Amino acid sequence: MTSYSALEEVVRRRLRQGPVRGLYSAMRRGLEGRAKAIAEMGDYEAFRSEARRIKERSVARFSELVDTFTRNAEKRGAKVYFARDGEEAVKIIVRIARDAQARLVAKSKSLTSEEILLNDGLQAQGLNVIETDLGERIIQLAREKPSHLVFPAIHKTLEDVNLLFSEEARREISSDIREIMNYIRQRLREIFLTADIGFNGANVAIAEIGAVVLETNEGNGRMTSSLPRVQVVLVGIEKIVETVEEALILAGAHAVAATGQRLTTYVSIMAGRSPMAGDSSREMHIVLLDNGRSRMLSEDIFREALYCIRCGACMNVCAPYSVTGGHIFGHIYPGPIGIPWTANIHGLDEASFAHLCISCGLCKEVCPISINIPLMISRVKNLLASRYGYPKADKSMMRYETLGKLASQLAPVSNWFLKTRASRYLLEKLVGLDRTVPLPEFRRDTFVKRFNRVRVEVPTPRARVALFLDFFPNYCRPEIAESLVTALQLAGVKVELPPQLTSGYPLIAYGDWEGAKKYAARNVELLSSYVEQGYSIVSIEPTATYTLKNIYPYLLKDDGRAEALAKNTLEALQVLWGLVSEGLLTVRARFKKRYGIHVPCHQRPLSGVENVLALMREAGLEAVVIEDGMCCGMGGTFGLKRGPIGRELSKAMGARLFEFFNSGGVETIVTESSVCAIHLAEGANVEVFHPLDILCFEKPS
Amino acid sequence: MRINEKKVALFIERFRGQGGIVELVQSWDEALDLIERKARTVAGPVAVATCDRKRLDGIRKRLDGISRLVGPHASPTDIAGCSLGITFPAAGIAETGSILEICYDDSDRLVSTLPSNHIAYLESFNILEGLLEVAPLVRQASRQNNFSATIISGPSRTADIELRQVVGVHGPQAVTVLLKV
Repeated sequence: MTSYSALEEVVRRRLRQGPVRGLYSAMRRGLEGRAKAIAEMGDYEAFRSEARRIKERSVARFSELVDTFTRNAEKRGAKVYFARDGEEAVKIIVRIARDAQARLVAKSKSLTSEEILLNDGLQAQGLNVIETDLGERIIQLAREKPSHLVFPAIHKTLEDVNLLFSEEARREISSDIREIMNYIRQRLREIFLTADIGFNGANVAIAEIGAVVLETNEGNGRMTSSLPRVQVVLVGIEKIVETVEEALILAGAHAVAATGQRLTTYVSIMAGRSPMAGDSSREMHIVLLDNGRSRMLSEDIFREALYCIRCGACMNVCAPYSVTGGHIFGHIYPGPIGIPWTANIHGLDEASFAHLCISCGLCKEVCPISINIPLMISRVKNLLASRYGYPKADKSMMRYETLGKLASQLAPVSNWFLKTRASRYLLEKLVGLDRTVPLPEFRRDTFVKRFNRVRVEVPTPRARVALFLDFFPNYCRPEIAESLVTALQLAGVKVELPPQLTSGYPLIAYGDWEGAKKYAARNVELLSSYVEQGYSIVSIEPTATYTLKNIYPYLLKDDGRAEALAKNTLEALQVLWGLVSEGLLTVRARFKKRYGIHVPCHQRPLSGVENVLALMREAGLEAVVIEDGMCCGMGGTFGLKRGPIGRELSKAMGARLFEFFNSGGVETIVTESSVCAIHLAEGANVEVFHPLDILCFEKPS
Repeated sequence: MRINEKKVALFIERFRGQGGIVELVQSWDEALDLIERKARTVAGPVAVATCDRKRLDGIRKRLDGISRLVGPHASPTDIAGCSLGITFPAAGIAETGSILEICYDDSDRLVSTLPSNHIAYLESFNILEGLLEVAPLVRQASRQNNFSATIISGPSRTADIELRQVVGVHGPQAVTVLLKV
């Protein structure tokens, strides 16, 4: 069984059981808390940029900061070790324990220690290791892995927890949560007071004063780092920053993004080992861990993973993670950022859960450091493909342009063909296209063919626009593009349709970097002359706009024209709302209904809901934005694929949102994305329109 | 009592918003009244962190015959047996609604860690506006000796079981700032 089919199997099993209990609530709570904290912060984007600058600066000065930190910590009497890999780190810590004649280790939550399987290493030497963070303790007793970064035992019910602690106590503990807390407080208090070693990780380390920073809410970290005679701290070398100010900013970024707190309840900055009641014989050992980090630093694409501050925000917006949970969508590091970390630290094979990523891009948008997680995931898929080849359905989806062109040329026969059960069965077998997924009608009369009929001469244009169509507006919904062109021309805008390919985003989504670069290079080649002549590139599909603006400059770093194209690319509705605001167009509604707006994921980093709402309001329409904070689950072509890593997962991801639309009393959904429209129409069983279907633009009288 | 300073008002609002308690006092004597009342309520030994002679004598006198006073620089076991811990933070932070404790001996740190109730006496002129103003204090401490600086924003809390918010899982269940204004 290949790792892909093994993954299919675990996802299938998960889908049969339903989404991980409690997980969505935890994610939602993180998102809502974050939104509230950001609203109170004022200029969050400036804060975010500063946090990113700190990480960029620190990671770039890696070895210098390691030296400064080591020197300053050693001046304080701490023993600092450098471990090249996990095995070496475990050996060092085992040696420290042996020298201290330790038997009991009180440990506070540390993902870095899980990365190196520290507990296994210590236990193999006969040490009793007790996790003291409540969630981690639950997981330890259950002999499981954490399923969420911030709430590791979120999948456990009160009943499960009660059972675990009753077994540990060998007596029945009341199921009242306070009773359970009392038991834990007493039980772990004994551990804290008698442990030989206190172990903790570090959220940040400060080079200028040789200090480590530990953030906790429960306060267990304060105890593990103060009570035992010997303190051991494990620090990934990417955590070192230069100054106290930088550490404080990152502590704020971490808390805001993880739980929506301004800071965690306790932020402890520890510089050297302080005496205890005058006893200065206590020890502090700091193990600095490389374990692949230096290698990541030297790789352009994966360097950004080192900026991660482990807030878990990327998990909280990840739709496939919300269904499958961290046990499937993760190895030791879970969630979106877990993919590049796993590939680099634990090996590519362990990172096959990358196939679950639907490439919605929201992880980058929510990340407090703006880490380009989606592109790193795409790169992991690319590396997986180099080793194992592309999964069949992914390969087919990447040929979407050829298939679309063919279906369009053969329409209406192709539409009939795509409706027959036999052909759908065949397509599912041959290309992995799910046999039940609704497909759009293909039009022989594509927009490219129609353009000359729609185009009018604008003698003295007030602006010049070159249209970027992408797949759907050309092959399936030419009337949308037609409405746009008509409206633009009414406002005195000259419109051209340059030769072009589609955006090529599916290739990025499935990891074909070479193919995606070809698409990018060709489109940049074809559109640049328009940009140079002063044309704005106006794009209809959000994913296409996102690709032009955010992906091409990354893929074609050495080609300045890609950056120029990105800068000059505008969204269709952004342009229309601009023209309406200037009084060059009026807008009215074709029909009034109770509208619910769906914002496609790739629209969010663009203008979001701003323009569609403004236009609808101007047309006298009322609309509410309905979302569950994540992708609708379609994920471009992901939802077209057969099986659990495709349509089955896609439907499960969308279920919540469908329910929100239905319970919100929405008669009609409005969305700018054509693929989301397919998914929502089926899932919510409500008619779905593009804004240009319901809005009518006229010249002011 | 009028709170004129914006940052003091913000500190109070934000510290309370995180489950902390703020009691306003006008003098150290008034603070001692509240400490005495709390010591009577919790009925157990009281741990005290390092402080100047005047404060320590004041507490000792007030609690004489009410509670056994432990510390400063008591053993962890003794501090763990206390129901109340009294500390003297170096500063308050308005932006985050927190107090900053700087300790040069871990037994001082334990006073705000182990007992179920924590009282911190803070004078309002020690309230800083923003989090980054903590940095010079930390840097200054770093020049003196080994130390720990802890920014505390309310009671110990967890939501690890079914996301139910519970305070006091490991550390204090109640944190009270006696704020002299």
